Amino acid sequence: MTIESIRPFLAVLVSAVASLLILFSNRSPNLREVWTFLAAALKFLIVISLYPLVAGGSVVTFRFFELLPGVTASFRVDAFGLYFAILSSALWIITSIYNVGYMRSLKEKEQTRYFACFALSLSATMGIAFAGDLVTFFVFYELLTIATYPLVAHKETKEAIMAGRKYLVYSLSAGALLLAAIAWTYAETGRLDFSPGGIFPPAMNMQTTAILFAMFVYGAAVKAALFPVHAWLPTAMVAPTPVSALLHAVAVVKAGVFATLRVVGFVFGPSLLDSSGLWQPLAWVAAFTIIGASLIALAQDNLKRRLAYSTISQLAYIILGAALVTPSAFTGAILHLANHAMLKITLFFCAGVIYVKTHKENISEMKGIGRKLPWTMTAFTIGALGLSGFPPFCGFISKWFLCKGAIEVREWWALIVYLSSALLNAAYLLPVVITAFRKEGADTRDESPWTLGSPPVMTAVLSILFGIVPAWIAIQYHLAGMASAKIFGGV
Amino acid sequence: MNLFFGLFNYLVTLFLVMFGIYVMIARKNLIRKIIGMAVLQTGVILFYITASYKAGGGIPIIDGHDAHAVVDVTLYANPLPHALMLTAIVVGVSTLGLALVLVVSIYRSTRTIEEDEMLQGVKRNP
Amino acid sequence: MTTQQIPILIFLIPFVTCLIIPLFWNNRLISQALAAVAVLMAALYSLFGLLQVRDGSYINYHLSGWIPPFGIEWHLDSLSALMALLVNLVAFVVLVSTGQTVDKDIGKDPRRTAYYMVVLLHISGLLGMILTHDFFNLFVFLEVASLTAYALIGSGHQLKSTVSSFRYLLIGTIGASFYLLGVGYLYVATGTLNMTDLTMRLPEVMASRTVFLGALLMLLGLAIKMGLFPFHGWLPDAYTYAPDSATAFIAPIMTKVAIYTAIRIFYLVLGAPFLQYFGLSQILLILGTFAVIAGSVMAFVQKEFKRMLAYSSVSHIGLIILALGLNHPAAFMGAVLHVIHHAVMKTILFLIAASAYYKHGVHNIFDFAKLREKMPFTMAAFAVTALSMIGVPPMCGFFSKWYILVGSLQSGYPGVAVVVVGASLLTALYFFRVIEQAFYHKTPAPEAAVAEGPIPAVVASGLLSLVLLILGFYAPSIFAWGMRIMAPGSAL
Repeated sequence: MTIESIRPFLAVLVSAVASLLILFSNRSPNLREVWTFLAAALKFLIVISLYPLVAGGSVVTFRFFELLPGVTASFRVDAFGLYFAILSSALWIITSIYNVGYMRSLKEKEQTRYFACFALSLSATMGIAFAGDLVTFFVFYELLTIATYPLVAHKETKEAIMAGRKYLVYSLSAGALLLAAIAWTYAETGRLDFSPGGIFPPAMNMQTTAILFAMFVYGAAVKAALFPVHAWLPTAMVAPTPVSALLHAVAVVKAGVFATLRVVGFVFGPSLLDSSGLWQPLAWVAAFTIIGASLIALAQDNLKRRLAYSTISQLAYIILGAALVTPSAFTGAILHLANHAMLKITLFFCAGVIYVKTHKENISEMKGIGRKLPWTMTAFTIGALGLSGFPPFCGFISKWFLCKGAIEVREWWALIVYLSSALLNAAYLLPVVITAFRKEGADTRDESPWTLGSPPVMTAVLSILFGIVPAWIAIQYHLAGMASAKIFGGV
Repeated sequence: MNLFFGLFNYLVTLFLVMFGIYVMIARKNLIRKIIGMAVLQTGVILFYITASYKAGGGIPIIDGHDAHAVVDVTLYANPLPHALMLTAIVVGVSTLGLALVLVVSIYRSTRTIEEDEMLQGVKRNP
Repeated sequence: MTTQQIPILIFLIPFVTCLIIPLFWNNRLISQALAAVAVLMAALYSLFGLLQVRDGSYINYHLSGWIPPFGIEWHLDSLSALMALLVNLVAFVVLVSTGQTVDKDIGKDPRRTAYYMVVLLHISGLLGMILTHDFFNLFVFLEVASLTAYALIGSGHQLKSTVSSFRYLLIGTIGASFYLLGVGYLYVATGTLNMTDLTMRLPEVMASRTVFLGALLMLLGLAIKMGLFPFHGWLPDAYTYAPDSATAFIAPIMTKVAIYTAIRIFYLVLGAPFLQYFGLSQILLILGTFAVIAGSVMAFVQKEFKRMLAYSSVSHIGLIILALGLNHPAAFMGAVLHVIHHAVMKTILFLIAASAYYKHGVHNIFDFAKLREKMPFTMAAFAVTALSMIGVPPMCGFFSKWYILVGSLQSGYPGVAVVVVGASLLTALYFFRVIEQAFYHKTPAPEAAVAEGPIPAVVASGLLSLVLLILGFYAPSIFAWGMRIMAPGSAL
């Protein structure tokens, strides 16, 4: 059933308006922060209010205008989109708390611009989640690039400017290719909507399909930091830590992954990918990324860079799951989208707290930090264990489904990749924990202000709850299962 | 031979246009450039006038009171291009005037109307 | 007043005001106000006319009551009404927002009064070009607009501006002469100068080489006037060295009106079948492609802000011509939209250039460092406009490029699509170079006192950058409207 509603549009609008209000309350930082929290809470409520409708099997739409004959720019909230929207709007609330603590503790300059861009990028993320057709999707995809560029270059140092430049070159070239692919798709099929199971006719010219697929995947994969176009992500780690946390663990990279899943499931469709064998190259690249990035992560001493490579590897998990084109793996991929976000944001939050309190960025210098910041490092431990796939944390569930999918299609190499990468995860994350808790000198506790210290704990608790509370797992599984059931309905 | 004499005016037009453009591009003296421009415009005017020419045609003035009588068009030259060219000449004159004003202005600043020296003057005193 | 007189009234208001202005000499404010009111009224009339003809009809006005094809006919249809509205609105914004800049650039009265006269005459010339439906009349207005443009460019104190004006005059006259020669060829072949009449007589002489050569000569002439790539030589110097207030007039609309003329002549009068018969559309396509690439590359290597904008114009003009060459309805409408969008965007950019020079004396991109702290509003407007130029959604620049892209792929030219997309990337390169300077680079001496440009210019550039968003939102509706009223089968 389709329900017309303005709510998706409001959810997108609310943080865009907030970003304007933030710009105009430059003089009073407290008022400025009020806007952020108000918008975050409002957005979350609107998004949650859509849940009963979507969970009941309806699709919520909001139409803008007819863009071309046969193409209407619209928002269309299905289970998959809502899933992503809930994830990012919920994490935005927590990040906002953290943001205030972090930026004020470090007395960063240009905070107004920072918060405005932050709010704007959340608008873009929401638009990406709700987009009902490729053009609307592209609009917000580009907006996200533009809104996050000032955040990456925020520090205004030479390094930050270079990182911003690199980010732009990668993202805009991807955007250009994506745009060309979208226009081509329209020329070929005359439609641009997202439809579960794909919009391409089965009798497409093989060569055209392959080129289009490559263009789409490139457009999405740059944001998802797939090898070999991942280089911007580690460089972008010069950004303030909350940016790395929300944008580089949740919004930007997840938008790329989300785009990949949309392309695989809703534009090309599993049957076309399966019959043409196009899933194979994608799967191989993803597998290579998983192992390669994990190995590189092992060698990084800078904590944020290590986390960045870990992100690259985990994102490729999701893409590999989608590329296997089987319901279980696809469900696992969608689940991992959220679970990885919760776990990785915890880790980034911790890295930020460490930086604020001790100004240390390198792992080798972090001896004894666990005794100084016990809460923070406990959260870090949970994140590390969850990411490595230990039960009872939420990472376990999604990895379980991914492995199950690999077994279902008898792709043993994928299973091996998943399992060995879990080991590698443990190998590069657990040493940090061990180093941190090693005894070193006086162990004076020095916890941070609550705005800074509580967010990692919150996300850590969330990731435990999503790993053990049956009702919560059911909600998550319900949406993910619905999405993949629709996509594979025709197979 | 017929090709040459039959199309003589058109060939002259072609020559004038090409010559005008050549002078405008190749000559360094600003006044000569302007002269080239005038030659170019004259070439175009000649083209129109030639096109309206009719062998044996007279001035298109219909005499007498019987203006609505059927007239034999072959007896008169086409008046329209002539009228058009009067306008074109006016346009050409104003262009010429403006061009001369600009050259005078350049001369006042640089004391030269040679392009090379003028450009050096621009470099010294932008 | 009946609606029948609208076409001539749109032209007459600025033209008559131009003759009234010298009565109030020695007072810049009165001249400026008169000029602004005149173009605003002309804009209102254009809007009124547009509403009259929005269903695809048209209004013809016969000068002195002579019946065409003997007399001169003026023609207001949706496209010309749209262009007239655009020209008048842009002129209004620029007139209102450049008062202080004119004081600085042009000097004391009576020069300033003369400046406003010339501006109004320029606008009248452009409006005449837009509204006339007679080939020779078009030539006259083309020359009126061009002569006033030479005067405006040469009106600065700098010697450079005089030199570039002189150069423009020579090249522009060659263009006009070619156009006139082309009209002569058409006249010889068809015996008419009226555009409607010519369309009717064209099928008989479709295969005539005279007509083809005439069309080619007219194209050559117009290409010079619009600054299409190999004939763009006058454009960068003229834009760079003209007084800032004059550039803000000439850059956004003069070339666009020349493009409009090309659209009118080649698509609405001669028609697509003729273009395809001799492969003229292929020529447009190739010229446009080269212009897009060359303009973008040249823009990237410039150091001067205005010169960069000038080359960016070259590239965008190429984009429009390329879209026309595709001969596809979607691309055609994309081109029309891009004419509008690009005019608005360039207005903002040149106003910003004017403010930056007026207040801080910066022309060079590398002097833009930290300009954001000094001119926060202006630079915010600049960022928005630059994004629109690049083609970032949801700003209007995206939508015109999108339709051109769709058109190129639907008509089977994937190579052209690559050029369009690549040009966007190059545009991103050269605009982000400036953004990076203005927003992130540090000056050696940190001084953060806010010193915005003239208030009207700041307000205008700020409001216009919001207009970019609104235009973006309405672009699909305009597109659908255009597709609906485009007479089926006649043009494309």
